Amino acid sequence: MKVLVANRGEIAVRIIRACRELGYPTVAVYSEPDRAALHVVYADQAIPIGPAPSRESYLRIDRIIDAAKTTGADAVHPGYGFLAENAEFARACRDAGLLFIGPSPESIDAMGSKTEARQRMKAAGVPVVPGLTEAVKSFDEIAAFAAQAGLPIMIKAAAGGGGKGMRLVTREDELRQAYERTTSEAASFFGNPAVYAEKFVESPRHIEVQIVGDQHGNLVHLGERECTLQRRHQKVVEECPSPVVDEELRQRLGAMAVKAAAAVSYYSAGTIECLMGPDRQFYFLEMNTRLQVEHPVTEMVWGVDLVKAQLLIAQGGKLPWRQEQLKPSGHAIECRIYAEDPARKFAPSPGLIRYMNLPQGPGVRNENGVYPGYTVPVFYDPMLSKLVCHSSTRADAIERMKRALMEYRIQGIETTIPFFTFLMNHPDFRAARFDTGFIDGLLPQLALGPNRLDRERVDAAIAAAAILAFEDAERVQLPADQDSQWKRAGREEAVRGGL
Amino acid sequence: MKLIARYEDTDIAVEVERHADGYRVTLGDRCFSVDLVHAGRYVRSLRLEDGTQYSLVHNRIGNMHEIMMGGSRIEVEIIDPLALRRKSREDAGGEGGVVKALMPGRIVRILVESGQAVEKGTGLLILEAMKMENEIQAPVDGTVAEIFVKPGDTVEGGAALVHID
Repeated sequence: MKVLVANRGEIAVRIIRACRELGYPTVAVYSEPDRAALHVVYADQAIPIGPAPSRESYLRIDRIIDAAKTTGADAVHPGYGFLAENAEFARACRDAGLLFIGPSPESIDAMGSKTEARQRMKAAGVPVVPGLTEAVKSFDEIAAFAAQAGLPIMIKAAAGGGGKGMRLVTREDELRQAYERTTSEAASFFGNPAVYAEKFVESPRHIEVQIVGDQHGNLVHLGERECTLQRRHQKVVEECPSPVVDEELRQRLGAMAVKAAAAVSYYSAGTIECLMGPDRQFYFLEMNTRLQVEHPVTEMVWGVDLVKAQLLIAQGGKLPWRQEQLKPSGHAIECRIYAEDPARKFAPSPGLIRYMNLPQGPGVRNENGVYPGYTVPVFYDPMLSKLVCHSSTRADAIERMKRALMEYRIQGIETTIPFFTFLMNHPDFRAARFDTGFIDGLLPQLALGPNRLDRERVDAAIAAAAILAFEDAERVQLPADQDSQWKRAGREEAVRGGL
Repeated sequence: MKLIARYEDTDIAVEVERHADGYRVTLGDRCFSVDLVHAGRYVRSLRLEDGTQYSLVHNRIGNMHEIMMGGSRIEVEIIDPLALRRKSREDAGGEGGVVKALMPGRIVRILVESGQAVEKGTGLLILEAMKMENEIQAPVDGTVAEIFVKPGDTVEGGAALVHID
């Protein structure tokens, strides 16, 4: 089976790796600036699909289908983001005789609209966050909901997901602007300006459950992931298992997730995202009908390969595990390494990576999408890699992550590596005391530069810089000498030749 | 060789001399005997007399030295005092009042009009970069003299956006 990977960056590399282990040839697609990207140079074949903007390349269904036909690919893996949750794309693949490595277009449709998903889940007896189940037709409906339910509320894109296109409103005078911004973002990211509102769950944790199903009606869950730590509603650290979920709660979450997936006849890998209040009441938030960014933490703890499972299931294969065979082991943490400056509220920091030292050693997995000499483009999500550490306990996994972060060096651009070092040392993180607002609360501290070096180290760095400046100054005088030696040798050579 | 290290706006006198197989560095009132080796293009290993070793990633841009140690980074400027005297007078001036794009992106919306009075912190426009909408704010109080961009424009990092008088 030849597989076209309709994505870029680290996830495209991850999928190509799974294909390679299974002996499946791979086809990468790329936009103009991505010709030398890692996923392109790593694949067996690569086909250009347009200029830099995603809507003219990675979002062009027609060009991707053409690339699959040109190369004789049998299947398409969408990764996550881009077209991964686009039912039209899944349908176009099916119509073109290509296997879509993911769920059916019908399941994607059912879960793709947040409002429809909320209606379906309510009907199936799955708890949802209190709020509207229809998109609003005007600002007045948002204002009416806010007045009736009371602030704070969340305004969300009906077609949204993955934390994009949503805004928290805590004050009435912010309401209109938040509505307009969310509508505008919804239109530009999801091509659909519809929004709705729901009550904001105070001090929530973000817990999600991994499920996998096959086309024969078998469904299992692979426990939960803790995804509470976010900035701008984007996850940055994920853990498996959640430090606040015990076995009893895990069984209840798992049963709820399987029920939710079954309600839309789901197959392939998928994730049920939940909000959990301090009272451990949980609510269905959305289903991600695709592989999740943070899937490696589940893979490490549950000893599975979700991408290989997806490839098997798409070909009609039966689920390789039964629920009672699946047992978690140890603890895994993932840090998303972004090209962002933590000291400037995580502002993007694209540019040339001059030097890179990747972390290695026991229990370390780095899902990398870049290399030294690579220029991080401005057009796409700024994630460089995902650093995942696994160990027997959460405390050991944290220490392992600190060690790996120390080894991980990227020079040329700002990254979130120093932020994660700070976080791994933070007493509240270590004690698992956090909610979704935790990182925003750290921003003032981060602006000061969180990992202050002691005087000894600063002195050592200054001494090194002074020596290097001294060496450079000396070198300026050297070439003349070397030059004359070369000239002398050359002259001697010429003289000898003349003899 | 006598140098000045400028670190966090403080100038420190540094002297570097060759000593044995390495160097002697006098830094303020401290003196170290060290050796420094290059481990590849960017990695330097600094070893003190007692064997303590620091692994540094080093990059130099002009006089600025960017150094990473462990998970932290510092920037130190190493100045040759003779060269400094020449340069100091040239650095005044600048283009006060022009708000520039900190990163490349696309202009989504303009929030002000030419001639409008703004206060420091007033939102001027929305710049979308890396899938995020960022509000660019006025750095000073003043009047909007000119707007150089319009919605839909793609701008490079450093591009002039708005001029504030």
